[in-house]
Amino acid sequence: MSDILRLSLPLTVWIAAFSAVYGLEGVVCSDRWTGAGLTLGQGRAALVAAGALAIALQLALLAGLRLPRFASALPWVQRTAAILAGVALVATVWSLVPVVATSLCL
Amino acid sequence: MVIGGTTPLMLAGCEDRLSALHPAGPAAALIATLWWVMLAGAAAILVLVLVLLALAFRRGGGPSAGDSRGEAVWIKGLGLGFTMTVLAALTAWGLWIGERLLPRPGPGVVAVEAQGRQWAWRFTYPDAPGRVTEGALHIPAGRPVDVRITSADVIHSFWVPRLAGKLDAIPGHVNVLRIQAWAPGEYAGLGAEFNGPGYRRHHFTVVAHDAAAWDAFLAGETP
Repeated sequence: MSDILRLSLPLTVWIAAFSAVYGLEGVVCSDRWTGAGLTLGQGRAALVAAGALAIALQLALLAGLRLPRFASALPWVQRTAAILAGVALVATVWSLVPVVATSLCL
Repeated sequence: MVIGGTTPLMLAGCEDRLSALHPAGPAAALIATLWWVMLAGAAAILVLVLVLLALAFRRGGGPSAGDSRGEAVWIKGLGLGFTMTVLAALTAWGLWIGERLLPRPGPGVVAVEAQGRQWAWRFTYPDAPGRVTEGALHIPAGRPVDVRITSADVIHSFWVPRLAGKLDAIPGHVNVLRIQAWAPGEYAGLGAEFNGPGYRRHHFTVVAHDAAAWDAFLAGETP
């Protein structure tokens, strides 16, 4: 794993997860969702599952970057990558809270 | 200096009729309260930062033995902890207010329809089929009103600052905005998004009626 990847992967995954979850919300709130015979309750469940998957992915990155197999030879890269992974985890939880805590499709 | 001198002069030109800080309904009141709290909070934080900056300049000198402890206090405590706490509180409160602004079904809710186009607003009323008004939206005072907003051409933005926040009018899509006026009267509204050369005249009026006048309007007894 290159150092560039170690530094950039967590926040890139956060951006992708953010776009995917809120894109999914758009699909859930469209006429096509109910047109396919799905309910808003199922839509909420899908959103929560997608959010949980995104958080699990960030936790895996945070833990994985500490493993010797994926660790950087440069101490400052290792420290910065750990900080950025922590920031990405907090950002993921923070930005996905509305998916769980707020009304859907109003 | 120039900004400090000219800003009060320019603010003096602001009108109450288009001021979100002079709410005339519950939704606008919630938004105004949020605005004032954010302004007061931001001002307090600015003063705190300026005081700390002044103290730092007065202290002077180079690094000392206590600097590692100071780093924990200033960077982790005030830089991260304080900032995150303020942002978390504002986010939670903003979400709570956002929930209260949503157009939930309930007794007494009136539906009206607004269609924006370059450069006019056309309003229709499901409770009075065939009734159409241009440039004036009629609503009952004291009752929640759901405005079903769409556009005939480009994207516009529907905004009555004293009654609610703004919401986009999108071609082929309907957005619903809950507004309510506490009292009968006229409230200024406008297209709040640039939409071409006629943008400056893209405004309208919301006319809030008392119960008797609203019934008369629906019956077609008033223009």
